[in-house]
Amino acid sequence: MTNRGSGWLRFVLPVAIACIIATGSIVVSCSSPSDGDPTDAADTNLVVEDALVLGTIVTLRVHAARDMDVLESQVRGIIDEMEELGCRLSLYCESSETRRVNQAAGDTVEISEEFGRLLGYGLEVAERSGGVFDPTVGPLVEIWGFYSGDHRVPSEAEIEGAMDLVDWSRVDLDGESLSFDPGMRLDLEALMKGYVADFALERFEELGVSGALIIAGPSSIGALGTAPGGRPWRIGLEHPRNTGSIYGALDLHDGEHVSTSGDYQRYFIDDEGIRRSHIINARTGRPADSGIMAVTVVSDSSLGADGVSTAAMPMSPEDAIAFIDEWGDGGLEGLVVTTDGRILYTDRMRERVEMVDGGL
Amino acid sequence: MDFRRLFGRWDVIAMVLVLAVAGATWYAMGMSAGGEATELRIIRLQPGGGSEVIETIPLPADLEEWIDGPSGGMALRVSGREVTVYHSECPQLICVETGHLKTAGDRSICVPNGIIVELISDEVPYDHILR
Repeated sequence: MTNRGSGWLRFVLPVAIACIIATGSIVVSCSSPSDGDPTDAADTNLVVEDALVLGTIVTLRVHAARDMDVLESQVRGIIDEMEELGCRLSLYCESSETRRVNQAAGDTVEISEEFGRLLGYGLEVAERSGGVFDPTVGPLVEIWGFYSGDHRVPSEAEIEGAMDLVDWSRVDLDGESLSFDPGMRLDLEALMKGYVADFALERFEELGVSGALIIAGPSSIGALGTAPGGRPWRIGLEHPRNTGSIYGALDLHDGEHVSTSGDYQRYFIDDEGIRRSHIINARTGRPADSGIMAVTVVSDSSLGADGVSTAAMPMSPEDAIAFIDEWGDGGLEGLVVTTDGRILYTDRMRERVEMVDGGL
Repeated sequence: MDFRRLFGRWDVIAMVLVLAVAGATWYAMGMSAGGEATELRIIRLQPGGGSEVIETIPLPADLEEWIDGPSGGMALRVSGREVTVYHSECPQLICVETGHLKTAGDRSICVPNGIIVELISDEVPYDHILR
């Protein structure tokens, strides 16, 4: 007869082993953003502020070792600065530089250094994306009704007519001098939230806060420093078709930014039941429809993350991953969620994202 | 060490049972620590900047509510810990299309009405949910 142990030990030992494994799993699974170094957390005050900027909600989570009133005042001051910056540049503000240069289409106009920088980046994304992203996409956005909110499917003739006015290569940007053909119209809105978020993070860095998370719209996030407690900022990735279902999570460290572009953020369903995304493929004149539900990109700026994720949306999933992976000197990190439920990653993004509840 | 000598069939069954119970507990706790909302917060954005929490509703709850706003307002339904903005007078209906809010950190935003409907939890699983 084999002796496997006897008495209480024979029952208690396996149960104890199982309990140790289970307890360890539960402790690990329960670590959350509220954990961290309690000393550090106690030393800083946290301000969370929502505000309307550029017609979208901007949320700022800022913590610093200073009086709460002072910190709140600084946060509100920077919100005002974000609004001013946005209004100088955005189409949605009547006095903006974008409106001014659009009204002067056909002439050569002087532009500000900041407008030139933003447009220059847009032209770079256009060139590298093969023109699927185009900062002159305005006429197409208009005929699909995304400016007015009166969405409709335009006729072939309307699309062709608008396409004649969409061509980034006909924009002549030379330092602070700009010209483009009459009838063409610049639209830099896809880059605007990221640009303003980058500005806000620079300002908070100047103010020496311990950490800040700038969330411009629900889809563009920039991180400075750490979250309260000294941990990285923790970001959940939501299923593109199922609000409240988190399929993955990633940590954002100091100076990192993440942006998602998707066909679910602004869209309409046409009479034939087809989903029409607000992201227009400037090569076809039609909303992005290449089998991608969402593109998420991590970059060293919100502007970069916004631009690359938007430009990747009209591409095939495989081309989108290659585009992200080949961007810049070292490439960017990103993932693509396809309409048939797959996730494609760049190599580094695969290591960074933790699946939640089994993923998609 | 020869594990076959140490553990018999019933030992293995006992371990599997304990791990199964632990797994169920982990799932339940994951729902709590990983996102079960304990409160609904309704925030109104101030015209001159800033924001104000105008109402908090402990969850679970079952109710319907109308929130006035400059674009006519919006209606929401609370069912347990799930919240749905099911009607809005704003033009683009983005808040309605957001669908059911189920996880702490989920938000439905109506920009024309300057209203944010947000699920909150004592245990914050994420600093932000990227949509």
